[in-house]
Amino acid sequence: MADGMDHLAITGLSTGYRHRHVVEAFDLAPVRPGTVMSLLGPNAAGKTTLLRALAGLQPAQGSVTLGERELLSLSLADHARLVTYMPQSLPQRVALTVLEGVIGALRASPSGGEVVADHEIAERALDVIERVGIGHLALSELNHLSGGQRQLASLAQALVRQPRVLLLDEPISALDLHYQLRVMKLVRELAKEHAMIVIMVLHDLSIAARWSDRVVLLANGKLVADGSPAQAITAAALADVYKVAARVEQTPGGLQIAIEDIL
Amino acid sequence: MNGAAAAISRHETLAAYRRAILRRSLIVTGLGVLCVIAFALDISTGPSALPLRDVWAGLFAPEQLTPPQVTIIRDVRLPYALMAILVGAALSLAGAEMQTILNNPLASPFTLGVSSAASFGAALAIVLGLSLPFVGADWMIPINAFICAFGSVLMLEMLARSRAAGVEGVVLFGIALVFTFNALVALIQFVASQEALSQLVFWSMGSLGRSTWANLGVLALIVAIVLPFSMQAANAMTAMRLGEDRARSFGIDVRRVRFFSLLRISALAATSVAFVGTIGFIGLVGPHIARLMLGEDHRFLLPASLLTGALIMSLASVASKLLVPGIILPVGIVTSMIGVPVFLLLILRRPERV
Repeated sequence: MADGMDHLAITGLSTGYRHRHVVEAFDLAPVRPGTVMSLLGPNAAGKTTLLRALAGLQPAQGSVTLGERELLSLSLADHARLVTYMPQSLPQRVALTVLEGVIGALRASPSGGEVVADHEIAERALDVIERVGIGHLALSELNHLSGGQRQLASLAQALVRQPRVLLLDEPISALDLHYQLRVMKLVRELAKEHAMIVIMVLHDLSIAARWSDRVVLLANGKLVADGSPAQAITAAALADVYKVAARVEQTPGGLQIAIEDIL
Repeated sequence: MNGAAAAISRHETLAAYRRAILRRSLIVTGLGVLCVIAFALDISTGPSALPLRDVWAGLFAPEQLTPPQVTIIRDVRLPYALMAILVGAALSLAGAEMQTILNNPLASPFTLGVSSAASFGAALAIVLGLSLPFVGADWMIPINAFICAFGSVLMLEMLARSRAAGVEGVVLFGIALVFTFNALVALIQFVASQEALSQLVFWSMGSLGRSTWANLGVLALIVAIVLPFSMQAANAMTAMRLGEDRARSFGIDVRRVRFFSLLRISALAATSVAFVGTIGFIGLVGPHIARLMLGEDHRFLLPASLLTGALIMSLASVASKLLVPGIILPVGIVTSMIGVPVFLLLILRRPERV
């Protein structure tokens, strides 16, 4: 499929609030399909703002292309067929079950424009719920779930739309170790399987280093480092971005990162 | 429940989901049947003792009754009972949409001042004797009520959208609207002529007593026009319950959905208020009962809210005739007596967070 070969590229992207650009003239070298990319950086570096701009949720100038298509000029509905955004949290007090939430995500707008029968929608939704590992909770109300379970339910809502570009805002912040790894592995598998581009905001350097193909470091809305985990996460870059003294070693087991002090 | 659910297989989960959908369809149908029963009860109660058999005769075989009996049934009881059903349906549907659109469980036309705004608009039209070319004075009252209701709803929406206000801010602003418009209505009453005053007092009470066939036709038309559009937005509204950013990333134009929903809410609330005055709490209680019964899949929640509201209102209408023998209480008093305890219960339950 030619679609699967579409790269995502960003040139001269500026976005933010009415009087203040949080991200200004941002460029990103093309992202290959199947890439898992982590956005790292301190608080208020513009990570979420950048992600929301890519999701079409806030006005932005510049250019974001997926293959031949200019994403910034697509209609909301066309944009939604290609890109799905997962916010940090689900709202409280929603009287829907996990399954209904995922079905709701599918029904919101048929992602391929095709009409799907009711039972087929339910099966597709349940497939994804089982894949994220909460099949046994499919009939539980979202209200009754723990924070981590809610995050998995939220991830299932995003995954079910089978986007070409999946944007995840801190997908593992509420999860325990087991589920953190589980989600990262799953996201990686799906990215490879469907040639999907995954861009996620993360806070954990080690997890980002272990599970990403590509890491982008942001500070003050500017790109500081971009490359493979080993290329991007260096002691110098961490000192620059986080103001910490760190030791970074390349070992056979992967990148070893130790934060030793603040600067 | 979670423990038992752990053993549920894929097949069972899908079967359980199908059963839940079926159960909801049955609940909606059941509510419809109960509405018909309540309606039959409503037309067979009243100060003049007419057994159900006579009421039936009055509708289908009027030659068996005396002319005054036929008049009571056809021109008093029937419009009265139909108005109860329609007003309950309109207010409850408006309340259900409002709670979703403003993401606020305490939202309803009455609690957030939309009804007050509408009665202010209606009062203004009565006192000033407003009229437009080609538009009769009778129409100016609902139209003016609609304009004021829509204005207040737009203000609420702007506030709900600015993140600074939060759920509490919207409720407080709504309360401010209630007091403001009630004060303005009182001011109008103070300066109104004797004749206009009697008409105004009726508004503040909320009564079905002035139901006419013309009014009924207008309200029925509004509900019939609004409902298909509400149902068309049902999937979008369900998705909006998962969060606004998420819904937009699913391709839903949230602003557009909101705007048209607010138009519908204003039309429903304003027409109801213009014809029967301010009726409290139906718009709040109806959707909550429906939500408790069948959750927030709006394909079912919206029709169920409409029917629950119609049912409660119809029963309230029966109660308003039976509570004090020989006297028909303004039905707004009855709905408030039912509504206030439920409202308090909702507020007290609110801090519950999982």
